[in-house]
Amino acid sequence: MILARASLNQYVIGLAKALYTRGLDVAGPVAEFDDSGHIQFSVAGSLADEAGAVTISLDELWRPMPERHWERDEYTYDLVDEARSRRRAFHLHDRALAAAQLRSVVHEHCEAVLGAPACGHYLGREIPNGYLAIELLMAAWLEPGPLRCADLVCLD
Amino acid sequence: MTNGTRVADRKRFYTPQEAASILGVSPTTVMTRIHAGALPAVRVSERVYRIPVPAFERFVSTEPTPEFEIRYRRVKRVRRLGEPIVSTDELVGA
Repeated sequence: MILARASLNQYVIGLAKALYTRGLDVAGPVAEFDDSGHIQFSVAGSLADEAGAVTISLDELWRPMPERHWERDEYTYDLVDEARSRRRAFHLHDRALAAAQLRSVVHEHCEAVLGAPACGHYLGREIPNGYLAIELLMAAWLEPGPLRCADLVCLD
Repeated sequence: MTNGTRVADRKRFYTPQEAASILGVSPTTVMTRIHAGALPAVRVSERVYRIPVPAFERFVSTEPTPEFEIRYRRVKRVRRLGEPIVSTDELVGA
C-alpha cells in the first residue's frame, strides 16, 4: 500500500473512526517520525468489560518513497481479549529474520489461552490494510467458541 | 443474566433479526444499513452477519463521532514493530 501524505493521514484517521463506530474507546492515533522519513502510527481501541479488558491495537511502520509518498513496510495488528483470555494477531515485521527463520515474512499469533500459545508463530497471509485487520480481529472477538488455533500451520 | 452466567460469556453480538426487533424496523432495513456502512457488522459467512453489541450501542447513541487528529512526534529513530523473532535454537544457545 502506497499513499501520499494527505491520503495517509486520512487512512489513519479512518482507522480510528472505524474502531470508534464499532463501539471501542479509542486511544490515538499517534505517530512518530524521524529524519529518515519513516513514520510509525499507533491507534488502539478498548472495551471495558467486568471480566477484563479487550484491546485492539493497530501499529504500522511506513517508509518514505519518492515524490512524498509512503509505503506500509511493517505492521502489527493485535487483539488481546482478557475477558475470554485469548489473543489473535497478524504481523509483518523483521522481514529478513522472519524470512530466514520462519520461511515467511508474515506470520500470525493465536492463543486459545492467553499467554499460553501452542505455537509461537503461525503461517500468515498478508493483510492488505488496517480496515481488514479490524474486521478479522472483531470476528475473532465475536467468535463464541474457542479460537481454532489448531487449524493454523505452525512455523516454529 | 443469571448469577451462574460468566461475565465473559455475556452476549457480544446481535443478529440482524435481533437488531431489527430492537430498532423496530425490518431485517431488510437493518441489512440496508449494514451494506451502506452505517451499521458496522462482521460478515462471518456468505449470508451471515454479526453486529457487535458495542457497535450497535454506538449506532443508536446520539453522541456525535469525535474528530480524530494524529499527534505527531519527532524522534531520533522510529522504533521497529513487534516482538523480536527469535528461533528456538538461539534461545537454547543463549
